Amino acid sequence: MDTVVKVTNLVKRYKELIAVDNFSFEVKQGEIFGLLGPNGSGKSTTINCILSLLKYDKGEIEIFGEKMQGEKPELLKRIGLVGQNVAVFDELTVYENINFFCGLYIKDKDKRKALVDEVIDFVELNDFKKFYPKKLSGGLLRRLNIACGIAHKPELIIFDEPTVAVDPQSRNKILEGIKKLNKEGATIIYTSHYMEEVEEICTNILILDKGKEVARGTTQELKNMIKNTENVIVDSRNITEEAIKDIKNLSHIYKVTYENNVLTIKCNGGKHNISHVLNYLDDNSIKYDRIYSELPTLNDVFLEITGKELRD
Amino acid sequence: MFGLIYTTCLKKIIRNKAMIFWLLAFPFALGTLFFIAFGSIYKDQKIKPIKVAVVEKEKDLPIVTVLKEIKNDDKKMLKITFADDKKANKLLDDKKVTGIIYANSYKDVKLTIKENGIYQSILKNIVVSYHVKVNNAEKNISISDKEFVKIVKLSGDNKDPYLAYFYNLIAMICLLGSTSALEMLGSMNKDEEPTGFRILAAPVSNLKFSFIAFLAIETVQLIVTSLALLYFMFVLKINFGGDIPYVFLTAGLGTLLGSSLGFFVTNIKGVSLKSKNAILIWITLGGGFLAGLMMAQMKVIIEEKAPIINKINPASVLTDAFYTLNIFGISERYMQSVIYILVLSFLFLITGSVMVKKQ
Repeated sequence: MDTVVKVTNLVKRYKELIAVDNFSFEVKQGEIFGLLGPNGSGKSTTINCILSLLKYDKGEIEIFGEKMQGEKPELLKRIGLVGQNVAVFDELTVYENINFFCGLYIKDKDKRKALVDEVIDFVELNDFKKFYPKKLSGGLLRRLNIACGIAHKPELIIFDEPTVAVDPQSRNKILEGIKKLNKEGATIIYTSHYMEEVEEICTNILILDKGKEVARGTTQELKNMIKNTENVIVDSRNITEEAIKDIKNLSHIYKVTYENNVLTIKCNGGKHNISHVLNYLDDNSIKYDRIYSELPTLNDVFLEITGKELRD
Repeated sequence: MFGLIYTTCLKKIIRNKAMIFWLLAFPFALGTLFFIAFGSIYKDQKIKPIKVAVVEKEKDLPIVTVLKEIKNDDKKMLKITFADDKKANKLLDDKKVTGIIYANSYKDVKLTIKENGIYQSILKNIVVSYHVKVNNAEKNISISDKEFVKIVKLSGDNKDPYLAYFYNLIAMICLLGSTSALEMLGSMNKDEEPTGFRILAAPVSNLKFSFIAFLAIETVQLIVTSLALLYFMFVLKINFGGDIPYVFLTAGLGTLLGSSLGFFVTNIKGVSLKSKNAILIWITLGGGFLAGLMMAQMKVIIEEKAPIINKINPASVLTDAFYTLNIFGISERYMQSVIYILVLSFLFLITGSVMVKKQ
């Protein structure tokens, strides 16, 4: 598989602050590469460096095998960008916006028209072609934002937190769209601080914190790095200190926390952990509202490695 | 690519209702306001005869006959006081006459004025016309008004305030182009606007995009300023004097100065768009005030106390160009103003371009 993006020992400083602290990664052709991390972890700075919109202090960036530094119009033609903020002109209609941004990449009018029509179909904005952005709902605006970034059919598409402040229905549509683009052959870099999204669509993930690499791999590889294999959650108002101690002593349980009437039991290996907890609660006549078990998420990976939640 | 960016920028400006409202409302509303406020005063002033002192060195010279004919004309344009040299100068110093015409001989006729203004221009034209006729009658010699008109002080303190207000207003309209430049080019600032981020990530030269956007801004400014000039000339019937095409040319140069000022300020690095807007408001409104938009005498005060401000204040530079065009026509002084506007505009453009390139 060809390497589409190769970042080697990238360092970017803002005076005293090191925004990107010497990490490297490669994005292979056809994959959806996730950059996951909390706000301020260096995701957007890395994207800016990749697009040559920021000068970096050290390291090397190669895109499609060519060094990316300074003005590289031929390389930029092959890249599409969808940022977290909606980047469209309020004074232009949906069609005019897409046509304009596509026109910055495609000079040929006929070819451009075909591409614009195609992307309008793709994001399902056919009924809104003549609408001005102010007349669109939040979800439709996001779709317009995506259309403006991908109309020229780029080989590499960078999505920088495209689902911030988006309702769940629109978010699902966006994620489906990204998977479809990937299936059609586009290589994708997806940055987010929503672990569920990254987990859902990314084939390879790099987790960042404070500009440093925390972990990397596929979702499964990342989950295998931690000892947490299962979380048992109990909603109950009747958990005593003694009960917590007892539950902690059950087999394969290594951590128990009780906050806001929610008992979280972290398990390491073993089968039927939820049954053991249920038995204990029944034996001791502890009432509960609900009990359920869930597999660890990338948040657990982040929590276990950094000691804090992704959303902190 | 050029056509797409140019038309998009035009659409972006024209469809920005708030911007277009201010670009059009400002000149039309303020122009009408000036017309209502000062128009009647000006009309009264226009019918007043021009007071002139005549110093005769010889009796029955043709110039005196000409002056008397003008005086006795239906319009009663002149009010003549015959006086000796000393008395005439005292009258001029006391502002009791607009100028002194020295009738030394048939061919030696000179005018002395202390200030610039419409009345002085009329006297100047009378003297120059007299010389043209005398010379044409004898031999064909080209004549420069400098030979006959002695201007004691150029930065007069009685510029026709009515016209001066309109000159300042046109200067302001031209300079307001800087704010539309900020509005348009600001959308390319990646640190302030998401659209700027998207444009910079596209395979189009930043400088090329900026220049095409600049041309669109300049086009809109030219249209707005021309409309305002036509309104002043044909609806409010303001007589700007001089050659009308040159009045438009001067206004066109003014829009170039305004747009390039906006281009320069927009591209200053490390300053937020809000601060840049504040800078431009200071330069246009503050500059307009110093050039006499709110108080006609302000420019004279500045000329006396800190003349350098009048040299660097774009509003003053533009007002001067209009004024010299009206008073001196296509003269050396007018050309100096034109060159100064061009130099200032290119300086703004070149410095702005360097800053774009550095981004």
